[in-house]
Amino acid sequence: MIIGIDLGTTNSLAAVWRDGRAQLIPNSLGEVLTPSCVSLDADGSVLVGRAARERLQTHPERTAAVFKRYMGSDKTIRLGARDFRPEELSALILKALKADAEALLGEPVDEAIITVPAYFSDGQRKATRAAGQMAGLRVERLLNEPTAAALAYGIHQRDEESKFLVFDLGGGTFDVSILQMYDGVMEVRSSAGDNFLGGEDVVEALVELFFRRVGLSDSLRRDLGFMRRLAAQAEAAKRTLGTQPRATMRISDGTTEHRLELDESALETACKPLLQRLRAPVERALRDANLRSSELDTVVLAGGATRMPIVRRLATTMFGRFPAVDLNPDEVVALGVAVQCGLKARDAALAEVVMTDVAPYSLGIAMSMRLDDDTWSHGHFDPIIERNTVVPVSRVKTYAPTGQRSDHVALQVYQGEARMARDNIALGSLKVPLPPGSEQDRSVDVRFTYDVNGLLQVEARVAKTGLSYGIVIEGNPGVLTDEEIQQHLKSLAELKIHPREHLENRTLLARAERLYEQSRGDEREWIGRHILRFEQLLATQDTRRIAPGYKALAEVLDQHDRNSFIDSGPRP
Amino acid sequence: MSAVLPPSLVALGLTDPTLELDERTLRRAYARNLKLIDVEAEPERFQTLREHLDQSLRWIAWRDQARQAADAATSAEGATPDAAQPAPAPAAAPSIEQPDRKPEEAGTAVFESFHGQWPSLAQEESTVRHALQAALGDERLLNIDARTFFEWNIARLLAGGWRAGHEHLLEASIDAFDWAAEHARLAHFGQVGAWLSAAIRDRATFRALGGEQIEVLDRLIARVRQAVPPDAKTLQDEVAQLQFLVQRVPNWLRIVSPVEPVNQRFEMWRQIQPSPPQRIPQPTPQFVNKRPASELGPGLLIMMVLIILVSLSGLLRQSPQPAPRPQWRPEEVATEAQLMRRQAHAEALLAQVLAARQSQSPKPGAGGRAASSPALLPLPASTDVPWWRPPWEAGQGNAPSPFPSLGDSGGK
Repeated sequence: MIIGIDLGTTNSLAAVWRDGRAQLIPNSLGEVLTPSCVSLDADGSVLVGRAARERLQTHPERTAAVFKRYMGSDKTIRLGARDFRPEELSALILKALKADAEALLGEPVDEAIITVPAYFSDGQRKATRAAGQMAGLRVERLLNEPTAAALAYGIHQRDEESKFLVFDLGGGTFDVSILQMYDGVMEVRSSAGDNFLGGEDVVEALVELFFRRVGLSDSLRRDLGFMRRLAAQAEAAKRTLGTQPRATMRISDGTTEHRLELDESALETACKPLLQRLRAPVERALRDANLRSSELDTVVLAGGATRMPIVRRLATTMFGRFPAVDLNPDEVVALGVAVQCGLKARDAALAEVVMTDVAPYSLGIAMSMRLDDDTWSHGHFDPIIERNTVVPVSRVKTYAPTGQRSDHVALQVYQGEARMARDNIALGSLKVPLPPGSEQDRSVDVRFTYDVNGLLQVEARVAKTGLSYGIVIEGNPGVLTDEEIQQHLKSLAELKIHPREHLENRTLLARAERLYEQSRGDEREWIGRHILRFEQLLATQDTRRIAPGYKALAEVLDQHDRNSFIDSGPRP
Repeated sequence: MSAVLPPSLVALGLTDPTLELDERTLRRAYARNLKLIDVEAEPERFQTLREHLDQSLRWIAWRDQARQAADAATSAEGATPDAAQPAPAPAAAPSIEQPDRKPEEAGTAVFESFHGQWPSLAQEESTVRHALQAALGDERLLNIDARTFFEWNIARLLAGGWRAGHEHLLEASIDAFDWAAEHARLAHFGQVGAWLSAAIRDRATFRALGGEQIEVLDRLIARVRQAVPPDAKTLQDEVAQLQFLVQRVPNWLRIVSPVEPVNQRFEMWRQIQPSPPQRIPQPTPQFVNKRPASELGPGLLIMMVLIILVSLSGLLRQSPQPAPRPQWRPEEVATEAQLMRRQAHAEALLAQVLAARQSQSPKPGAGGRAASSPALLPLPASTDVPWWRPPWEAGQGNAPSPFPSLGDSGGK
């Protein structure tokens, strides 16, 4: 069985194509959104999802979130005494989603299609694929998130001819794709994006605003627990401002209680630089598709951050029309990846549908330009595959070495749009030995092959010898080798995963612990007593007694949340 | 239509010569073929099919343009005054729905308002930057299309050549529109974009020069802009330096500096040579060359000598003692008396040049330079056309729209 996974910065979802339609898979809490958080419990077991998110504030040193932003880098995140790579943390999320799918479907799941931001680099894509492998999944395909959103949207209008733009602002990334549909073909015309722009940046902007307006000491920034609680306040305020004109951020630093009243205009001011960054990818995607915004039939919103009224207003002004919000922006990518699963499985309901995608960025090498006979200008970027070329694609260009005596040439491979190579993203390098001889003998054919998953292969062939080099780009510290992936797979297998059937109770306890830590005096004692009572019930392992105890504690916590004005975390 | 169809159309299965081909027909044929391919398992087959579609789309775009050109030529012939001819029928409704003009109007209005402040803005880069940012903050430019039209107007203005302050506007625009960061961004603006893109590439080349070299050349460009007349002592250096710039960074130079004073310096240099017919480097170093360096032919050697002189003159300026004049040809070591004579000659020439400039239009219009050049300085025929002019200034057509599919040319 193959499942589709939307591996998000803030939340992740799994979905499947079943009975001729896309279906979301609920987790053990019955929710379709699983927070992309991982925490190590006191007994060393791994908690994933909402239970881990609850522990972000209470156990900041043992909990991680937003690690998707580090995919493709060699950064590690320390939880307790162990360092995790972002691929490993993502693998733990994927494992949890796999278990949820197996529980729903009643059969093993070993294949998956995982979505990635369209603008994810080669290294980030390889890291995502590695995460899938570590979770015991064969990653059949990596699908661009806005393409998935378009599939979810377009599958209902497959018989119509239309051009539409997907505006996908998620937790950590922003993507824009323009699609054209005709005769069952869903063709991505162009994609553009920003890998570091999303709802999490809005939260950060509000945190910064709080520090500035309230005049907090910068020393508090070193207090991880305080910062996580403040981020939770910012998240809650962001959500409140989606439906109400005002919101309040409150936090105590142990001695003083600080508060900040926010309204929409304050949010807009704090987010202005972020909102401005939404424009460039949209402009680029339209330019590359050679379209005016008025030629689009629809603008589709995807990603949780598009719920924010300021984002919707901006989109409306930019495109001169109201965007379509027929599908839940949190779920649209997952529904689309399920459609891709159906396509992959050649489901009869999708027999006449074909989807083609593009390479969202240019890929090329650094080269020197000859100004005259013996003057060179070095470090120019020369694209071999231009951005928004339909994939899969293979292109070749021929280069000659500048030096007549060197015995090799170093091909520096880059991704990006800047004229100078140094301003683009370095993907790696390839050393190609050269024979002695004329310039023509020593010329090198450089072939770039970019597949439907957005993964690049580079091959260099020397004209005189006919020998080929490359295949794998080396030198990118963010990309693991097969051996390293196997090592991490083994090491993850040694971790104890919290039993899925007990996760609901553990999640409630984690929430209770967070509220306990944030309360004081009688309230704190009151919550503490309820926690103790529930823990005693759990120790009995008697499900008939645990169920009412769960309900009672949940009611206590809900009541506390309603009355509390201190540091309440985001509601699920 | 010709009975011989392009191979790409045949590959798509469009072999019926009577079939009226348009984008929709091509895409339908592509879709039919695509469904026979497993894109993931047969990447080469897919790539070939895709290339057939792209080539076919280009072919029909070219065919439509050719048809329009032919129709235009026919209309022009038919427009010969003839009383017997019936009045022309009203134009047929355009096949493409008329686009919404509001964004274009909004973009143009904001541009005009920005450009309206120009004379007062032009002095300082900071003022230009501030005004450009203010214009971009205009609510009318929140619409994507309106903003594109604004950017296009700025690009067109700059591509039209130097006016006072354009050097600041270029820098401000590169930052505001990310022109330098994105190599393909300006491609959307057709020829205007290509010219600007070449200028930005030149700018990178200029900035890669050494700091001292940049300083010297910056000072020179400032003198050229301010129409500071060179004396005979500096003329030699300036000509060499300008020749260097013309060769290396011609596209950027014509945005950041005026054309006329550059050509005047070259002409003055030619005039003050002791024996002009024999001594002037051939071809005469005019600020007119569009050809790549590799095609410069016999002039290349002379250029190289001049480039070396630039470096030499830079070194000489550092010297605390008065240094001898750089020898650009060994047999021509100038005596003090010769220098004095040259200077007097140069000053006389300059006076005439300046007087002539005052009497001519400041804008180098189509063919205007040759017509308005003073008789004293007849330029060679090859320099009648300034080194570079946008086609619409030269009367070769209208400026292209930033949206080719809906622009003045009417075709994709």
